[in-house]
Amino acid sequence: MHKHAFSRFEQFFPYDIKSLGLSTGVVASCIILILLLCMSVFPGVFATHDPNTVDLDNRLVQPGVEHYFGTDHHGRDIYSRVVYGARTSMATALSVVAIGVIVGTLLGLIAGYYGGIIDQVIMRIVDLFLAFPATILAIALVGLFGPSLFNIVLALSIMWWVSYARIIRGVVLQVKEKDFIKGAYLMGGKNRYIIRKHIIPHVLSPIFALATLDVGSAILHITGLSFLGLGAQPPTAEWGSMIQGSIAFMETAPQTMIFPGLCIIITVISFNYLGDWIKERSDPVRMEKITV
Amino acid sequence: MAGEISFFLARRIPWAILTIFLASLLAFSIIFFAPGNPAEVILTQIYGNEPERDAVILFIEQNALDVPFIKQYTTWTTGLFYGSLGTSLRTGDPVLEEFIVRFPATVILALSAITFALVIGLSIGVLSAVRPHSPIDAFGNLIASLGSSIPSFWLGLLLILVFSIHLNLLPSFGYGGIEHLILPTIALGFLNVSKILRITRESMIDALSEDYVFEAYAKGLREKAVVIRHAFRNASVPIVTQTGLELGALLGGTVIIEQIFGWPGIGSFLLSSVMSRDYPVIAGFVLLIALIYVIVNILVDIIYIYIDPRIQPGGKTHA
Repeated sequence: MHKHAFSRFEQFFPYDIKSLGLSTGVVASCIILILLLCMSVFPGVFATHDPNTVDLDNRLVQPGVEHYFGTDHHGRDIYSRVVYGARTSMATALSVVAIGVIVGTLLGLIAGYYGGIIDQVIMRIVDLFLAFPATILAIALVGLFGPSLFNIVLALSIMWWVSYARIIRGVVLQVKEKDFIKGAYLMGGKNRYIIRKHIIPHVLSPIFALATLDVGSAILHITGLSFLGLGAQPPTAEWGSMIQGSIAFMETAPQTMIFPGLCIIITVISFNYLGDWIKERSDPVRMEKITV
Repeated sequence: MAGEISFFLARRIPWAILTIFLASLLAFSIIFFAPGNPAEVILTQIYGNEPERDAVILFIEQNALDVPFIKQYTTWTTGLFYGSLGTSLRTGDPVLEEFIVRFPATVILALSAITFALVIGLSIGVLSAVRPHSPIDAFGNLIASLGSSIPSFWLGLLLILVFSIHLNLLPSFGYGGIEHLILPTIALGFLNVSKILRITRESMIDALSEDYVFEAYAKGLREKAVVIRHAFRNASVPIVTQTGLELGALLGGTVIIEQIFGWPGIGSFLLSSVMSRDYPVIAGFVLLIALIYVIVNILVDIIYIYIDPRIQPGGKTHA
């Protein structure tokens, strides 16, 4: 068979569209996520008001035609703040997961492929990180660096790579024993060549599924820490800090709290649905084993 | 059995000690590398205003704050063996005392949340697995996907809004009787309900497709007996592991809920210490929480050996 019998696209996407098992939930999630992505890139197109303009004459207005989701205690338009908050949440959550994936995959590949002392050292560091509850470590690091959104991303990234490193190492250990790797080695393939050509294509689909599932959890962590006042500082529009600001007015103006919360839930559910679907599609048997 | 456990402990405890040692290094680094001069921070806390330069230098000399990292770290760790973790800059009380006073409240909340999660998660999970694609399975699915996507702080506020403010049924704040425990338990445990439900359903479906289940049915046993005595027993191993991990995480991860409900546990104290940069408390609490986490994980592995004799304790170095 010719070396390029499969196109690049088919290599990574070897499915027939009909066999994809797209449920309504998955399609809806995709649409919501695309919409959120557009919102975070072009918030100005979606927002009806400036997110930070204070209007003391229109404080705590109920949802209506002028203000879709009402206004908060400074008279700021909640809908517009939610739109700008999408940018904050998407940007921070995707950064945390991206950093985690890059660092974790690199260390997992090295640990699994080379084994020996390097493997031992990397895995002991992984154990150390697993010995801390994630929230506590993040809070401690924010305590050290001071509260800000950037420090939250930093603190979460520092511990986010751990689970990837562990899982990728496991996949590499499985793949390493396969005959085609031994063949490539006997052919005189250099380590870097084998990793690039034979190992990385195998770890791509589990990484992609896990990363998608993790974005939701990253959003929950970031909004939670911002809610505690450790992340986004006012007046930045951020879903977690919007909810925190709403506590005092919850009784008379529940819209200040309800809408940002619903946005978090919808976003996280969409990422989870998509992640579950990718997980199922990409080698069900192996994914089952490595993600439990 | 006893021999297996001592063999297992012999393998696990050195790693646990190493982990705690590294955790203590990390915790101490928080004090040592914290921005700002600790002497100034402490003196400002004590006197309430900017300290004199001479007072700062004197304080540094008295407390040996100018010696190298290794020496300070050694002093701090030696203190650990005498049960001293330093004193809080804010309250002036020993850090260990602050921890011990608040730990029971956190334990009560964590245990209550995990019990709630087990009761709901196990029952819906088992019923879903027994009748897949039934209405109860659909309901379980809904709970599971909501549980892993609702932010606990938002759920907490929603519960307060509905049950405390509008219905006036339950208190929204404070610590005391059973009625104070209900709302924080639901808000905290909902995520765990989802996790336990998922793992129960998955492992029960696996167990119910095994040959011994068909055999038990063939023997003429009733469904209840088969499900409970045969399938559930075998499905319980991953559930116990998951529960243990959740409990460990809960003991350290109740910060947000404690904050919302004014629960006087270690989480809310840690948070206020972070806000006022009370470094000895942050370091001490981080170390103690890591210690508890490690101990809980070892206990879970021991329970693991008891419920599933097939597991070779020597085969796993760490969970």
